[in-house]
Amino acid sequence: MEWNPTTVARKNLGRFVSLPQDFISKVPAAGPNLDRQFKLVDKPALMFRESTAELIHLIDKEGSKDACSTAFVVDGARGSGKTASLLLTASHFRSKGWVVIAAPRVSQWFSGIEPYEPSADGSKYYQPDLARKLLESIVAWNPSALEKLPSLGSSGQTVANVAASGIAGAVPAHDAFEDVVKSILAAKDRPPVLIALDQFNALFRKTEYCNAKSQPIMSNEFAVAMVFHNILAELGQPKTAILGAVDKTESLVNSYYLQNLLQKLPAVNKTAGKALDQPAVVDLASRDEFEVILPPSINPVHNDAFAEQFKQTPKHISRVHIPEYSHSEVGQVLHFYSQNNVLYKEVSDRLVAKWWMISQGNPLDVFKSCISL
Amino acid sequence: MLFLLGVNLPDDKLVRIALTSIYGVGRRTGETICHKLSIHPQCRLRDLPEHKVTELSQLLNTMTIESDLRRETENRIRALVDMGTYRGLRHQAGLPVHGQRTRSNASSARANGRFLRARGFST
Repeated sequence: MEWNPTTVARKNLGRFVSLPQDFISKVPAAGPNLDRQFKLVDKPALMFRESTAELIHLIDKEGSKDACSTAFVVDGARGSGKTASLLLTASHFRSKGWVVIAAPRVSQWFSGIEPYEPSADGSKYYQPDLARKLLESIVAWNPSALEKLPSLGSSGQTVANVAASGIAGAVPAHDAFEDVVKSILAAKDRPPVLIALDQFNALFRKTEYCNAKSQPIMSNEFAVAMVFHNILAELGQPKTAILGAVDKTESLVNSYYLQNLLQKLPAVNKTAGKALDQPAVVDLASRDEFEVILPPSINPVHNDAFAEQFKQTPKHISRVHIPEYSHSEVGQVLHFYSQNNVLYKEVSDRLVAKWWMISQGNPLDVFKSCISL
Repeated sequence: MLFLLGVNLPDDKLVRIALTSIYGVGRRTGETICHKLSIHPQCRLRDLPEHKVTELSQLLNTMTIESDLRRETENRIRALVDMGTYRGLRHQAGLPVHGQRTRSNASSARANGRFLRARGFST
């Protein structure tokens, strides 16, 4: 079944849906595990879960407001389906005609792949190639919407013209990128905007780059990341929804700062599962600004250089927790894998119960145990 | 291959690794050079723009590397030998200088010692 806005219905819960080809072709990499699954089943199919339906509803509600009040951050255990939820949500709203600014792998911005250069005053760092790639992706995701939006920075020009100038190199790519994003968010007569960022925690940690003194550069010192940090710190944009998915698969993307922020927040979705890694609540008289009770010697947040330097905190974050698979969902997944020749076993109730017990409902563990047989 | 300051640097390697082909530049110095010139960690030598190559060349010119470094090392060893110090005697004899055992091992010192003696203590 192809994923489109009409698929979001209760009767389709638990069914596997294929992402549209024109959407998935614009996602260069969904993540190593998802890419592997797509390759094995020969189609970009994901399960439509109740948590995804709830996330879509929350984003829809946020996008209809006159002022954006919160940024949704999808959290959950490693391999629980955060990226899958983000992809389904982004595809859904793109099909509905929203303007989508999506970045599937934010970690690649700071992994040392992209060239960088310091600004003249040394206060920030530019990544011209990355800015150009982001402009190309914005244009690719929204081919027609940008031509109707006026540019804030260049009078008489549309956002599409500014983006084309930035891509061609006629203007500095980062200036064009910043102008394009600000113009899209400030435009009055426009469809709702969805900003979808996977590996959201990469925005809140140190990077693989170093400054001239060989000290690691924090992600907020990069001009491209600054654009998103400013959006998160200000909020209030009309008809805008911000969605970020945390990545716990790659250890180099971990952010103690964001982890600590999210731990304090309750989940806003009704389908949230009970988090297994809740810290024990201990009542002590003195707590630090993060309300963490561990002594500095073993508390990673205190040793997190990003936490010390970062002053521009996001204005408001709402945590959406993706639960593990339920028993019936495990059955649906095993049936799907069996149909697509990933699992070569007869799917019975006993097998489903056994698999659910062994994997504890973790989607990644279910997948890996299927392919390892 | 990029020919820089008399050394052929391999194009297909990362810049910080390729720089270690230069005598006097190790991994740490290679990384420090890349940080100073804002060369991203995954940059290959073939992807380096022309102006960065120029900056790299200018920076390397300010460092003591290759023949300057070899000459300096040779002078230091010769000074030890001329002064008649213990370390100088060990260099002359082709034996370990830093107090290692000679009952066994010490093969590197013996090999280097033969090499140094053949060249008149010039490296």
